Amino acid sequence: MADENFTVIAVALDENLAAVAPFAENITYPVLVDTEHQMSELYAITNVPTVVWIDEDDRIVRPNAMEPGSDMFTEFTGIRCEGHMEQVRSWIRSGVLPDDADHEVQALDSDEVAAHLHFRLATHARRGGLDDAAERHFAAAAELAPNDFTIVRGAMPLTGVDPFGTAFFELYGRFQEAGSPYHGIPRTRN
Amino acid sequence: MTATANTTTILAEDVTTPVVTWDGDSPIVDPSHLGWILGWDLRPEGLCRKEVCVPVPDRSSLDHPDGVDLSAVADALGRPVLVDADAHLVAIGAASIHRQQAMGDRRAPDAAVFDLQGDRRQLSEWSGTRRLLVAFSTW
Repeated sequence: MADENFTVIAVALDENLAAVAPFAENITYPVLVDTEHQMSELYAITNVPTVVWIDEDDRIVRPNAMEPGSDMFTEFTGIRCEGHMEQVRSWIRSGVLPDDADHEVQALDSDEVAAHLHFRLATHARRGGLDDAAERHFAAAAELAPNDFTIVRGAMPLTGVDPFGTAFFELYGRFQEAGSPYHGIPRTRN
Repeated sequence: MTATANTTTILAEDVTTPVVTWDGDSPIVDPSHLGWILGWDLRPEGLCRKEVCVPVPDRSSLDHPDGVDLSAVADALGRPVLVDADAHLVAIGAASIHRQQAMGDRRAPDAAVFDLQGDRRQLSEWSGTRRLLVAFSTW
């Protein structure tokens, strides 16, 4: 679909550019990094992979939905992208939007915004060697947004916690128990 | 309380490191630095970015003997602020109106990001193209 005025823009919610680089190998579309959590704050992105469809007039035509943008994520999500990519093809070729495109997504609330600010302060404190301040702000962020994976799981590799270990499964269990809340089109999984 | 001046890291659209006079938990900055820090200048008509101005009804709420109170300026712009005076760090979020417009009015907001070479980019560079914004992570 490269010649149809269409592109994927992949944005990693990571701090370390070098860690993202292997994901961009052999990828022809732009791969960017939201080191400062500004995109996730504005677009209310609380989990990954989240996809937003945007038209040529900067209108969000289908809001946040947890979807793999390509099978490059299948290994992590277990979800294959084919159903979603069919919907994308219909949109690009015929302008047809799926029924769920009308779903209204709420902006982050004030606690969730505060969590992003704490997270941002924490990453900079950590870079500046202020480990106590970093720990304090990572903890405050997780308390304010306990179901936001970009906050709670995003902090794991920055705080020496295995993001694929026990802490992740605790987060995932809590998230499911809370009804799998996120800012996006509701997903029915499994 | 005695005010002390320290280089402080301020996280807004850009990351800047101006000298801040700390009056307790209030970060006081040189008013001429506001454009650099926040992209908004303080003028007689209010806080302005290019031709757009936000009136400030109570100008005295911003003023401080050593400059202007950055937290009060952010408040006046409807932007959330988080201050850590001990760590000399300030984070300033997007205006709440921008977050509401993104979700309620479906206007895709611009945001500053980085490419893998470490160069700053704007999402608006891809305006005019239908696109899938895919947020992913290595974690």
